[in-house]
Amino acid sequence: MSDTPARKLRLLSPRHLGLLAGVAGLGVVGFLAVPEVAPSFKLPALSSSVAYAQNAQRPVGFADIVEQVKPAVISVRVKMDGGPRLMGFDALPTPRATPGSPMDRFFRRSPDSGVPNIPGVPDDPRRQAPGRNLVTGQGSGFFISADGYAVTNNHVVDKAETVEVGTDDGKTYSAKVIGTDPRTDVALIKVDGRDDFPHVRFADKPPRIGDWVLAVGNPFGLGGTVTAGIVSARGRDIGAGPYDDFIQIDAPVNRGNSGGPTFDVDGGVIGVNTAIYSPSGGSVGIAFAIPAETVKSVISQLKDKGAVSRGWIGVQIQPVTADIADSLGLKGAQGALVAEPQANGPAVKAGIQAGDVITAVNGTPVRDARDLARQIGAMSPGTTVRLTVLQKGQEKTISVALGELPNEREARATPESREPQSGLALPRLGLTLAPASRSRAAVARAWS
Amino acid sequence: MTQVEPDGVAAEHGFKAGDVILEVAGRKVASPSEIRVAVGNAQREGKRTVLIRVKSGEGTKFVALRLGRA
Repeated sequence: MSDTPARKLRLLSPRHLGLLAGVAGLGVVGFLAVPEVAPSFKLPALSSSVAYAQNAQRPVGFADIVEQVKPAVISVRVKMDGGPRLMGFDALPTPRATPGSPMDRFFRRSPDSGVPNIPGVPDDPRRQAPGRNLVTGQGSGFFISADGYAVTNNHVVDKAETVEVGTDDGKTYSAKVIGTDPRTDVALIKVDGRDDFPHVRFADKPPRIGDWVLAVGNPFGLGGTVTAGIVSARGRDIGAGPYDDFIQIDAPVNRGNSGGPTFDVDGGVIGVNTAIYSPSGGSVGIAFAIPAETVKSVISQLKDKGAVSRGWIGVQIQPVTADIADSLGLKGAQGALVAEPQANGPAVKAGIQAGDVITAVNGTPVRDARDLARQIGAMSPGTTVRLTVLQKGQEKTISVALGELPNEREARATPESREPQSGLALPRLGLTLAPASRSRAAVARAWS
Repeated sequence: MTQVEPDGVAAEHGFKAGDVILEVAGRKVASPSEIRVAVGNAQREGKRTVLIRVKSGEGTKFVALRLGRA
């Protein structure tokens, strides 16, 4: 077992080298292309390969950006009550693992499970004093203000009894949880006592697919780890929550990266690393980050009032599939179908009925059921919205005064539980995903 | 619904025995014969799909059934 960490770390290094080789390759391509368009007899000064090499574009490293942003990235360590000791090895809180499922088997880390046991990292939190079973967990986070406000994932701190923050300069601080938002998996924590914490800002604009990104965090307890990749996709719905809108990146992200930032090449935070898809448990280059716009709006509410309030219209909605669109005589599979308005909800009061298709909110088209949930959820309770509704074949505009999404109840201005025909890419592949935090949980597993 | 043919279109759409069909093509239905009439009408009108509102253990939802050609 003693060579496990080294083996695991080696396994990770080819990925890293592969990336560097890819970058270097770009330079080589540029170099080789020059002679074809510029024959040497026309450009004698460039005829030597030394001159070519000097003129070829070199791969650009990220060290300058890293130097700027890394000091603001923190590791977040939590202690939580893992329940009675009787539960023994199963005591790790694994809320999403069904007994007997692959996820469950994954959590029952056996010595040969391949999970690295890195020296210096308290990997087995179950070796604790008898009585209460204190479990430790690790994630990542980042300061957003000089006075110590920091962002992390809800799933890193939601069960925490104590939260400890480790900074890049090796210091440790205790932190308090200001507020959490389970629906987006965002949490705001605060470290007191200093007003000069290095901090980072959010990017002004959303990234484009293909943009370079850097992930910084605390994978497997290895604080201050920097990895690079690109934005692979946007707007991913991974079935984690009603407002899923993840940025997919291919920078290596592993357990413990949860809550850490993804930066653009200007050093702005474009997302918060939250989940990975992995058949193996380690990074396969598919990570999901909560977009900065979402994080910004959530943390400003958490800072003001410790919770997030969302607009609510009180309808159960379902996706408009091609068949449903056809049966209603709609041109395209767009909008959200009202499966059932809730009794006494704002929608019912405004005259919305089961079978209505909501096609626009204040004139903005509703792409699908999730889009409606997102648009309504982003508005404040009390706001009046104009919904464009197709009711019994007739288009109408209905004004609805938004209520407040009840906090403890299942979101009901949100899509109904996933339909088999909903056509959402990831669930159809038969994968489940889970947060990428160090202790509780993990990582996505796939099975067919 | 008392029985769902395992290989039929309905089973494919997740219908289960015990589910109740509330509406067919936007009209309330109260008996099996009304359902047959409503589906038959849709078929005669040349519709490819018919929207059915179903109440099951998990709540109410809409399902679009593709009409088989007789």
